[in-house]
Amino acid sequence: MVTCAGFSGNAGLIKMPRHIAIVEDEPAIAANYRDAFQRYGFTVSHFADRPSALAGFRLGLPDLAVIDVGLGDEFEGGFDLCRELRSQAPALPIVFLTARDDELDVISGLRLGADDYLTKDISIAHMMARVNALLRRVDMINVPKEQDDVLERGKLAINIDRMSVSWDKQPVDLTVTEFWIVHSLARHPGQVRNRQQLMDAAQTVLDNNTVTSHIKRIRKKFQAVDAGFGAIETAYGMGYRWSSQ
Amino acid sequence: MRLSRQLLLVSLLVFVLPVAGIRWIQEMELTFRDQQTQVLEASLQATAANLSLRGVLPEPVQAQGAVYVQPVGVDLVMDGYFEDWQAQQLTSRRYSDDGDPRVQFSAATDGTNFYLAFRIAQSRTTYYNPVGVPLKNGDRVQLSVEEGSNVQHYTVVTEAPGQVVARFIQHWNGINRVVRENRIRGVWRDTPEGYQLELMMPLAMAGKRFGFRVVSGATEQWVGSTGSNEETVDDELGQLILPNQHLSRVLDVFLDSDMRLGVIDSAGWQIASTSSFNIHETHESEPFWLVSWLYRMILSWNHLPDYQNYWRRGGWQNSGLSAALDGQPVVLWTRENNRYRLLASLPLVKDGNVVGALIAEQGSQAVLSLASRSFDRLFSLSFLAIVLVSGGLLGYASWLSFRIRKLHQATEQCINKDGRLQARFPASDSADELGELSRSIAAMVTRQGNHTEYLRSLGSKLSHELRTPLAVVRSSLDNLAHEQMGEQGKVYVSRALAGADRLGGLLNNISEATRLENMIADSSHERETVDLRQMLGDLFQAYSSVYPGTQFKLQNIDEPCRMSIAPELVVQAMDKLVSNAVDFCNDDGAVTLRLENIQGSPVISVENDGPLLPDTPDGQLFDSMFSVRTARGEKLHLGLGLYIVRLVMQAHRGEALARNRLDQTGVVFSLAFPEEV
Repeated sequence: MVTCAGFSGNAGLIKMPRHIAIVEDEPAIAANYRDAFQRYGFTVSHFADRPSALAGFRLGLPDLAVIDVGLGDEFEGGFDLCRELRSQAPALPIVFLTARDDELDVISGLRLGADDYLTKDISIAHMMARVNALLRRVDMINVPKEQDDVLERGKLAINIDRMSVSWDKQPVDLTVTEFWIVHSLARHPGQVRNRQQLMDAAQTVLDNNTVTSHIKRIRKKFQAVDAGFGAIETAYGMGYRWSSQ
Repeated sequence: MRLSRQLLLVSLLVFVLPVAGIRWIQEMELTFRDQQTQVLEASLQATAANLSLRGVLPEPVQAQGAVYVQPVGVDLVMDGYFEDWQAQQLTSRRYSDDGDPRVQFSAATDGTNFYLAFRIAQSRTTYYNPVGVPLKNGDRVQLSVEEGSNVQHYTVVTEAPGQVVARFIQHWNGINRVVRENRIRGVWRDTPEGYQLELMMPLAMAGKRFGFRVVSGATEQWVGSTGSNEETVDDELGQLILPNQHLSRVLDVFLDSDMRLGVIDSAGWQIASTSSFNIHETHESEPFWLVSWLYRMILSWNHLPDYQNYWRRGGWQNSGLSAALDGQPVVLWTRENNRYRLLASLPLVKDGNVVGALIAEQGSQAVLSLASRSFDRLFSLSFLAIVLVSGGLLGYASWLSFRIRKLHQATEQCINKDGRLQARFPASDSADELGELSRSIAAMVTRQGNHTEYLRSLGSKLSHELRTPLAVVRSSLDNLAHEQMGEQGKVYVSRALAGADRLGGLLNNISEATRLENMIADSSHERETVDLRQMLGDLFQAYSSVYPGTQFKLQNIDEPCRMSIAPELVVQAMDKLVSNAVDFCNDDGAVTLRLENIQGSPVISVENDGPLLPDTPDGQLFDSMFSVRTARGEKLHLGLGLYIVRLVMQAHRGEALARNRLDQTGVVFSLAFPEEV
């Protein structure tokens, strides 16, 4: 079942309507999201299950895919879909949307190459912000710019326009959430950012534990580049800070 | 009472075994004795019949005046002393003419000589005066011996103690003269009681009949004689009962092992006996005194009469055997030292008259050795049986109780305090009831575990399932906000959104504990070495800013306290404790954070002024869904806080403790870490 909605609304941020594919087995949610996305000026395709989504993607790739992890009877059909989609289009931004927020799902979702991961109780406004941020990053990567807005902190370099991060001139592959967390910390070195601040920066409503696991994963990603990485410090009970050294 | 002790008591029943054995041995002993009695009686009857056929039955004797001559195996020394007589266990007989038995007499023969022994008790000895009436003055002993059809009287007198020779008065050519009979000689010896006289003469000279009388020289009274009265003593000689050699030889034929035979005449004197006392004197090693005592207690021993030593020489007169002379066979069991002796007598009948009795004495080595052997065997067997059975039962009991204990421990351990399955229940494979019990407990535990797991995951499942409809509600509301609607409509939408938010929070809370448990399980290896002192300092600052309305105090230690912990978890536990402390703290009170080092173990305490802890069972405060709060404001409270604290401390092998302050002004919650996590 493929539902294609035409261009409508005028989001104004982007010149031409973007095409977003929603793969969601819950029709009510899918319809709500579709309406919301359309309101913001996106073209929306809705697929209820994996085979129809794959068939649709073969006809044409969307600009961004929002995929539910559980698809009908397929408990982790979203993950499978993500894997297949990623093989077709390595650069396609993929956002997981699910009711399941267990740590395990987060990790496996991101390991499969998802660019972000949202729980379903996120508000639509938040979701729009995240989707826009993702699309913006993709645009930035695709369109070279003369002068990028770059934030440098010692070995760390953050290209805010391209939403890319490098450490010691080596790129560090971060998700959007992680990017904003790193950005928020690095902007004010030595200042403690509490969890709420980090969540706000990342424009997400993850709970404390998810912030913790995000921080953990960020550290690991930096440590993969530099084993001696220790710039993100824990301020117990308060949050985290970027080491001023 | 423990199972092993119960079974040990039960094993006492094994003692029935030796008791039964003892009963059996007693029966056996009695049977055996009966049997031996019968055999001996039968053998005696056969012997008696044989004796009768051979015509060697003794003649009936006149008891009056008869003199019994005891056989003696050795020569007796003529010295006037009777030690050698006593050594041969020769019995003596008392004679009396005036009711006061003052003469002791015994006679013996070695086959050729005839020995006589007199012991006379009288106050004063009068010696013979050669110038007095010939042979009729002084203390004297007169012997009457049958010579052919006449009776020859000899008198033994002496002028002084020492060697004596019998004399007699011979009528020779009308004169009486004293003639010495040198064949009758002996020794006269004075004793404190009177005198004693030992005489000997050729047996051939003694003839068949014999008599004596003892006359006191001082009073000319008879003090004792073989005769029934003074008048007839000269003519009525008593019968001289000599050992019947022929009969003895015949008896030898019937001799059996462990046995001796004898014949007593109608007066009760033993006249014949088997030459040797054919009883095996095997010297077995004396059994242990306890065993020996047990024998006597167990075997019907104690009421048996003692064996009298003089019976050995034929002195049966007072043995009870002589009752056979009345015509009835007699059987008598006696005991000697540690042996049985069976005595039996059977009347010998000749022409309808009892002429004597056949006497048999049989050692009962067999009975005793049989009994003793059985007893030994019984003793060792029962001992072995008791030891084996008791040991076996004890071992069995120990094994059983070990299994029960194991089962008990497994049951205790497999479900922890929260009712959750901690370890797999080790079901037994054995086919018995305990195995069945173990298996049914295992099945029960598994079912219980499944159920608990179901209940445990119910929350997160529920929250997961509810989240999708919640997303529908929320996204619909979000979309609705962009639709045209009146002011009132916007109010409703915002209320609905608030409700959806609360519902979302509720769902998060429900799955929080489960998520945290998973996280603890995941992060147990993600330990970091953290300075607790610095951490508490950080927390103090953090909490001071998070709860601006509450006064915080910090009591830290001076030196760094480095520990390997999962800091996120500990901070989360601290968050819960501090949140509780702030909620319960009095308005003007303070919350104190304290790090102490108690015996090498760091302890973090959160203390607050305020109401005391409720009176609840130990540790229940930390249980899941246990809340003692009164509902306070809008904030959702499921009582998970302290449960999470406990989970965190369990992950650190530490302990979460709650107590009231000693001065009852507030409560203290502590996180006690082990010495090294």
